[in-house]
Amino acid sequence: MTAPAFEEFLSLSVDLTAFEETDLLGTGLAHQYLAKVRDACGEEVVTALLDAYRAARAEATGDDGRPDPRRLDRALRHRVFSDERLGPVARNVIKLWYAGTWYGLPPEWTDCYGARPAAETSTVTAASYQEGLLWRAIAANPPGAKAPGYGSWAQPPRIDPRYRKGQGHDGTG
Amino acid sequence: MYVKFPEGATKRTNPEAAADVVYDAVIVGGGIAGAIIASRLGAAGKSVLILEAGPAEDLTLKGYEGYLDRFYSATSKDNQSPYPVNPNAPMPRGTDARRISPGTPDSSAYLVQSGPFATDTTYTRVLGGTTMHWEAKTPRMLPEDFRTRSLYGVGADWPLTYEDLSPYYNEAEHEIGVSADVEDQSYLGVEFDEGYVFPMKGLPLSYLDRMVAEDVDGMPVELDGVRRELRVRPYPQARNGIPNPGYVPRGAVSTYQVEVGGRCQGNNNCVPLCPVQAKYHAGKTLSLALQSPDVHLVGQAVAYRVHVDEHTRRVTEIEYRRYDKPDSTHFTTERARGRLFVLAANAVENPRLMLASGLPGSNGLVGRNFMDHAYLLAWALLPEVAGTFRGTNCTGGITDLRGGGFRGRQAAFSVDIHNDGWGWARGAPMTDLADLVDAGGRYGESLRQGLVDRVSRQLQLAFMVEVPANPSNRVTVDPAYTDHLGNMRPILTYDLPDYTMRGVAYARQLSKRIFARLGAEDHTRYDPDFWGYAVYGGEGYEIRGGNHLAGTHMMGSDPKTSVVDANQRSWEHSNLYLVGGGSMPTVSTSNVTLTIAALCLRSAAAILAQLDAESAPIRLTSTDTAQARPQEVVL
Amino acid sequence: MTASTIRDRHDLIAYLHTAMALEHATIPPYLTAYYSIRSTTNSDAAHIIRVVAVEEMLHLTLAANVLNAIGGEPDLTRRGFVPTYPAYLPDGEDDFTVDLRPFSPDAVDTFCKIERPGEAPRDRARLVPEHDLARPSLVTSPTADGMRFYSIGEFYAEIIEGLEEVASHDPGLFRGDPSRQVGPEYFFSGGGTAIPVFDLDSARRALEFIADQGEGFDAGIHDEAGELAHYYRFRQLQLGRYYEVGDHPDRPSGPHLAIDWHEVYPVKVSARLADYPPDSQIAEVARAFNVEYWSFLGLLTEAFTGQPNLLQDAIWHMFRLRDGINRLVRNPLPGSGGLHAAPTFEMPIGRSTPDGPLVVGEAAAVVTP
Repeated sequence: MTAPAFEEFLSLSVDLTAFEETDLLGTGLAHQYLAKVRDACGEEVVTALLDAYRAARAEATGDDGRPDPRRLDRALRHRVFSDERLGPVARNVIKLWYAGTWYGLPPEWTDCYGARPAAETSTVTAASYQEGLLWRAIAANPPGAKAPGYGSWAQPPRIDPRYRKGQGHDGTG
Repeated sequence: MYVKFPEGATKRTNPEAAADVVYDAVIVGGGIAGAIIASRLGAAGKSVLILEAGPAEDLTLKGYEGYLDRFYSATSKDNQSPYPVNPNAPMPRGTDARRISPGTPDSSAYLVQSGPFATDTTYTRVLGGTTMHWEAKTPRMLPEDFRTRSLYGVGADWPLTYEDLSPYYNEAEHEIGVSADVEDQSYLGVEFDEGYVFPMKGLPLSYLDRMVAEDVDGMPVELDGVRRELRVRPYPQARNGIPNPGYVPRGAVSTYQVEVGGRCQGNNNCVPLCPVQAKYHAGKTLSLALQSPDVHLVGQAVAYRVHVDEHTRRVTEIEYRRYDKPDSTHFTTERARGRLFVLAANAVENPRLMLASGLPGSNGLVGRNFMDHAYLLAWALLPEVAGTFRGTNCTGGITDLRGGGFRGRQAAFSVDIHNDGWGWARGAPMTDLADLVDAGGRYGESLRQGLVDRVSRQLQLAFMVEVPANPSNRVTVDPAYTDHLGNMRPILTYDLPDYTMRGVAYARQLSKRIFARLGAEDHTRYDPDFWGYAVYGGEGYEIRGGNHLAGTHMMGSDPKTSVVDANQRSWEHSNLYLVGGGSMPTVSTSNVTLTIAALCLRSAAAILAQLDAESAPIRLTSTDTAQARPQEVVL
Repeated sequence: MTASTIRDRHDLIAYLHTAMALEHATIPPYLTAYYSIRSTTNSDAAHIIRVVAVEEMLHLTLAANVLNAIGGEPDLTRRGFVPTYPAYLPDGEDDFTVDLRPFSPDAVDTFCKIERPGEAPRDRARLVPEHDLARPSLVTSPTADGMRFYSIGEFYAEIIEGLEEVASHDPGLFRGDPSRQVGPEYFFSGGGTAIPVFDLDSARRALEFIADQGEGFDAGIHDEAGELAHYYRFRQLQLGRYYEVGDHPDRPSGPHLAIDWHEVYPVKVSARLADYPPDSQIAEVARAFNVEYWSFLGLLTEAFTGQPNLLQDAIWHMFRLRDGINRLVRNPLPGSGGLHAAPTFEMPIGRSTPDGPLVVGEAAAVVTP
């Protein structure tokens, strides 16, 4: 795999997960995850996903050289999430980072773009379950790993206040 | 302190040589019941042979971590996920459960289910048994649970009282290492000896428990004219906490020195596997039992038939099939001989073996009166973030409706507050993640907020509802259904009585009141397509199994209406003990393992007494003349 | 043997401060090696190192108990408490330094040297002159200038003799507040429990426990309870087998252990913040880790000065530090030729001039530019 593709995959993953690059590298699994996406969807799809992401960033980037969050959100929705081919793959990348599991792509996707053996639902490695970002997002440990210590469960959760807003009902952020 | 497993103990006994030995006792099953009895007999200098159906590997930290790796790698994290599939000693699995069409048994998995009610109940066939995956909640039974027939006209009375069992409860709590405080556990008539202290201090309630308690403590409930106030109470737990003076917690088991498991770290994975062995499993007792050179163990040994002398009705030997490898069906037929025999294979496998041996009992009660707990779940979102998914699986619950006069009419229950959210009911939090991403279009910051909002407020109550004994709920066998080794598979016929369903319906109503008091959004919705969907009074409920197997060789004071006596000794076969949950006449509202442990400690004393009383050499009559073997050495 | 270097309670206090610093100083090297091991690999080695690290924390606690018992004031945030790695250890030689290394034969070699049984040869003194070295040493005599100990065992032997000597003429030696003692209810690990110290006897037991568990001072490879001394636990990694009771030190006969030296993140040896690209995200993570570690030391100080129940919180803190180290070591260190990042354990000591301790609040200000 090429180094620029890896860098772009990381950058895409930062935007998809809202975890920093050091956090993603800190799972020790970033290379394996990119390889998993390639194995499951094929090189062509990965290239198209990264191309679309690059285009979305470019579209959202203003004169100051930084992407505007609202424009980036729209560009990602238009170019990636709503795309028949790329949308399910991008959603799978999010779930891969959050759960450590590659979920099988929906049948309508595989009907159109082909089913590969590696596309079945699977954990990437024994470590990938433990490194799921989901657990950090809810200030808990993956059950069976990364224990927090005796009695810590009696304390309030260490959840950053900015993720507590919107309590009550859904509302897209 | 770690628990030293004697290196080579699973290999040191040659099955063929062992066939020429008459052991003081032959025990079928290396779970908690068998381990406790073996440890007590071994300590008294008796010779013991344990037959274990699971793989014959020494218990080492590395082996345990093999379970852990299998769990980490599994896409389904159900309670059997850490344990390898072994066609020679198959295990029921929760994911096997299917709806049963009337008249068509579901034989797609090891446990054949003829219904009408389907269950996902499981047990584990590895060294250590189902205590490998048990949650390790250890409430004692209430004094009234031993007399439900006399008091409430329901179920059966025990031939024992709470007072009879109390000293063995004390001993069991020390054997398995229970963390609890006497002041929390003294309620509904449960009393402790003066000055009694549990081995370790009670585990702290979770933040979630405390949040629930703020509103639930003091909540009035009137049932059958009696008003009571609910409160959130800590459960006693067989996992290492802060030791009280004089108690040294037992940590991980291994053949070499390791230091892990001294204290629970809050891994929130008691079921299916505590990663650090802070939770008790029977390997800890088994390791101690095997310190005695006279305690032998043969693994990969699946009991096939109990042979009985046709005149004396005494058991002469147990014929077993020893497979070479878990993935090969090649086996050799071996036999195990002893003065006494103990079936400690659990409340499904014990009757299965008896029935497969043509020993249903003259009263036909072997296999009947199968019991489990019926679990009803109710789930909601709390108004505030509770930080769900932290702690042991369950630290606290509501236990005030475990006993009382209402039991004449409807089933009692205890209520667990689940620290693992809607995991059991709806597969949280992975299902929430998938829903937020796939259907909700969430990513990035919005996803992180959504997860906190959706997952960290989850509250799941699990109502553990009692199921009374009913002879038509039963385990049977049929030569039409066999496993790889040719063993007949258990067939379960099971239905829930109205008595239980009245308790279930009441539990659902109570859950609505509790959620209203908490200001929680009730998200409970029972799916009519669920395999355990049961309709009562026009309402449908999802009912799940509890893996709390009981009743199938019930104890009693009358040989006509029971299978074993108060010592768990068979009425019909004077040198045979059937031990474990199968002996229990009621399951009431206690998780069964602590009571199994107490009963087995009591039986161990009876077995020792019988061995001493029958110390004269016994003459064995060979039932199988074709199998000529050298005559026995009398030990 | 030279004359005692401990004459009074003040000397003892100085020694016990050094003892705490010594016990702590072994922890960063153990943690670095432990967390450099890739997740779910090298189970045997990981357990051995982890347990030794936990037991060093027990030793730290025991040293604090003795210091408290004689009225001292434990302080893990005092200047010089955390050494600058690489640092020398006093084994009578100057042939090795203690580095922060990934799990490797070199690291295990160092661990064996740290824990090496070391009764001084008869013809040599317990105290040897400190070489004129540019680098700091972990155990120098706090009272005899320019002298350091032949081994950690000898260092504790000196303290125990000093305690006996001072106690014999100072009846008020054990004047500390008993409520500061950390007992087994606060610190329990599989490898021993905290011993509260109220008198000479309990002080002796606490210190002998430290020395024995580390090096097997005079007890052979196993103690009476069947525990292996740290030195021999590490020897197992060199010899490839576990010891059984009764084994000769060179010939363990227990189960084999499996080591894969490649399943390790190649972290930079004794990394410093200066090795990180100044404005990089990873530098920020490394600095944040040091702040967290510093606040951990502050929490331990509070636990050892009257609030022993805070040790439970300190353990939660430790587990969070674990997650922080894990994240660091999996990140490449930019510009290091393929090496990975590692915690630097650079505490804000040595940067400020006052001799007094820094408080935690200041630490953040000092660490974070």
